[in-house]
Amino acid sequence: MAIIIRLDRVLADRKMPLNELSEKVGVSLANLSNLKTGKVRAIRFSTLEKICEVLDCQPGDILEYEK
Amino acid sequence: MKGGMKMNHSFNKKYYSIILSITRWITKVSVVVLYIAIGFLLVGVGVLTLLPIELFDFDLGVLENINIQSLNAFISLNPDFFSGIVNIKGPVVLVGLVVLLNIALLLFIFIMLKKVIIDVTDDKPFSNKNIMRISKVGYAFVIVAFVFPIFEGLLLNSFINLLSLSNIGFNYMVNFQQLFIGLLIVVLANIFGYASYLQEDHDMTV
Repeated sequence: MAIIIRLDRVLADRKMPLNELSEKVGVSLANLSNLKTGKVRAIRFSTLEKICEVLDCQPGDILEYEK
Repeated sequence: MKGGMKMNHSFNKKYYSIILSITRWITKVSVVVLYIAIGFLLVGVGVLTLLPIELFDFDLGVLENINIQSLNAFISLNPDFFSGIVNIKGPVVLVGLVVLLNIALLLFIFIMLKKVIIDVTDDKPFSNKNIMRISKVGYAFVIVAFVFPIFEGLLLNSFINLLSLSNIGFNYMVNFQQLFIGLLIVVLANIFGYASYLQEDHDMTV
């Protein structure tokens, strides 16, 4: 997969557990866990927006393109 | 991400679940009845085959009317033209086999339908297994459209030979009704396949 999810890194920086993010974003823990481990095919703009809002970051901080 | 069917607002869920439960019940009962019927028929055809041929001697003089109905033809014959004793073992066994084949097809369709409905009630309507089942039913119809007319022809021919009718023949013709039903089901299965892909895409999106 060329797009790598860096959610775990951002979460570690903010010292926020995944379940707290799940509550604040309104996405189930299972789904966020899948997102964190890169087991998803797509992410909605609305979900990305909420994650960025809660974690106070840019989409580029969460998603990374690797050649 | 979570699997399951998202219902449209215009969709009457209550009405849909009633239809599903009725169909589920009908298919359940039908499968049991068809299994029993197929069992009886198997035994019946087996017994008929084993019975001595002399028991099947039949006096044509006692016939009041003779009607031969096929897929594409209905022949009504004047019984006064026929007399003498003929042996009907072959045609009787053949009738049994044709009925057996028809019931076997019906049983196969009902078993598949039952499994499809179980998956639909479990909120997995677009599962790959369902698509396979629907395609199997479609291909069964396509095969049957070509194979059943052969048996029907054999049956008709056996009656033609039995009554020594030299001026009636049987032409093989594919059952286009079954063929189109089969092709339609195969196309629907492919549409289901695409729906399955969309469902998977939806489930894999956060």
